Amino acid sequence: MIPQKFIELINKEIDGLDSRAESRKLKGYLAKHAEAKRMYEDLAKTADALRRIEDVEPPAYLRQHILNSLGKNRSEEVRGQGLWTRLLDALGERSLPKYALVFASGFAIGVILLLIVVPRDLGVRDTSELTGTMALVPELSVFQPADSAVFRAPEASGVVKTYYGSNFIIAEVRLQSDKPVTTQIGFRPESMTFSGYKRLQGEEGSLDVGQNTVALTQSGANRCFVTFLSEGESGGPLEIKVLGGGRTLYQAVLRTTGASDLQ
Amino acid sequence: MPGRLYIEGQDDKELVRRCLRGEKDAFGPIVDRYEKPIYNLVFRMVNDRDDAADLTQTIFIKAYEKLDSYDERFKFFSWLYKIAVNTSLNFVSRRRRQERLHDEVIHDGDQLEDELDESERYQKLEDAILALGVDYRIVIVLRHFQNLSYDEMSKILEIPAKTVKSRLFTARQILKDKLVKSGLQG
Repeated sequence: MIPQKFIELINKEIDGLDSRAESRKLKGYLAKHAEAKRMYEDLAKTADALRRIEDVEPPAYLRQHILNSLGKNRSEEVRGQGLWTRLLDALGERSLPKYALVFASGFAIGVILLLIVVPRDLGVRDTSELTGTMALVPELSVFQPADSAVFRAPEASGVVKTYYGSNFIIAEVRLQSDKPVTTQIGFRPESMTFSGYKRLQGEEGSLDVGQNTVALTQSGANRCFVTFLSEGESGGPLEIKVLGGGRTLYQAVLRTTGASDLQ
Repeated sequence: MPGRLYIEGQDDKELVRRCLRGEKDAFGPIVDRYEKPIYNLVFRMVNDRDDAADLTQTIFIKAYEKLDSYDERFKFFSWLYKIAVNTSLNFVSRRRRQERLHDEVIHDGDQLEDELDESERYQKLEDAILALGVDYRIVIVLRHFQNLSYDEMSKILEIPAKTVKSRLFTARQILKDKLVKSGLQG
């Protein structure tokens, strides 16, 4: 049994945070106690292994993405995002009834407005006309990741990820292609409603919203979010198809909740 | 502080003041200074480069939005790290279901240490860190990858320094056992 004070000294020695006197005291103790010496050597080896792990470089684009995401004016930024952030906080991180009530009220008003304002058949649109409800990438982390798919084809490669929150489903599409490629997202209209679109990276493409599909046609390097309102947390799976050159390059079915909803 | 990644910025507070006066450009040097350490912290917690990039972006934007809540009596990096740690832990807790799968990554190994090539060693070590519970992983990350002191970790994690030491000790013991089990440590 190693006394607690020597266990602490072992840790301080490994971390290089002990004084010379403490180091001498520990070494004297280790010289006489094989069990403690073995523990020290084992932990020192582990710490040494950790030191050998090299740092990773952040992606080159990250700095610019961060700076681009800041508002033109800090106070405008805060004012503009405050409500959204508070709603998301209420949605994902706080369970106080008053926040739930605030969210529920705002959400209900939003749904009513959506039903009044948005025509049934959206048809083909220029994406610049749309303003998505999912406007802020930074807040994506408050949603739960549900599923993801990575695809690589000669014509295009990319990643599609799904996230969910209470009454929200988000599909994140990252695509790289030289020629125009269409990402078609099929959803169940009985349990989900298209809500918004937000392009974060890449050139303008086109967006075609139908009764049960959303189709994005783009080329180059793109990243965007497509948001849906759902009945509760489960809106059913999303059927993803990537189409290019007159053929299907990739297709997958992605969950939109943590549990399987692929019935 | 023997910073492996972190270089203390003497003018952090001045940069913050400039941001608060509406000089958005003043946030650039803050990003330059802390982008890599924050990205590394997050990456060690989530083990996914895309997620780490997204979360790093989230952290800086949260920090920017909340700059007026920063109290200059404290170190700016502690305040920023607190946001980073909380954001990472929130993300990891939501992904816990997937993490459980990683527990299975560590498997019995009978290879001798010198038979493992460098990439295998690296991967096993990464897996072992990832298999730690989040409370233990965060202290390993802050101590070994960010070189923070016990007191700094205590402030960032909002737990007593004594708890930091105890968690660190337990985390290393668990890690050591995992490395022995995987054949990485004799």
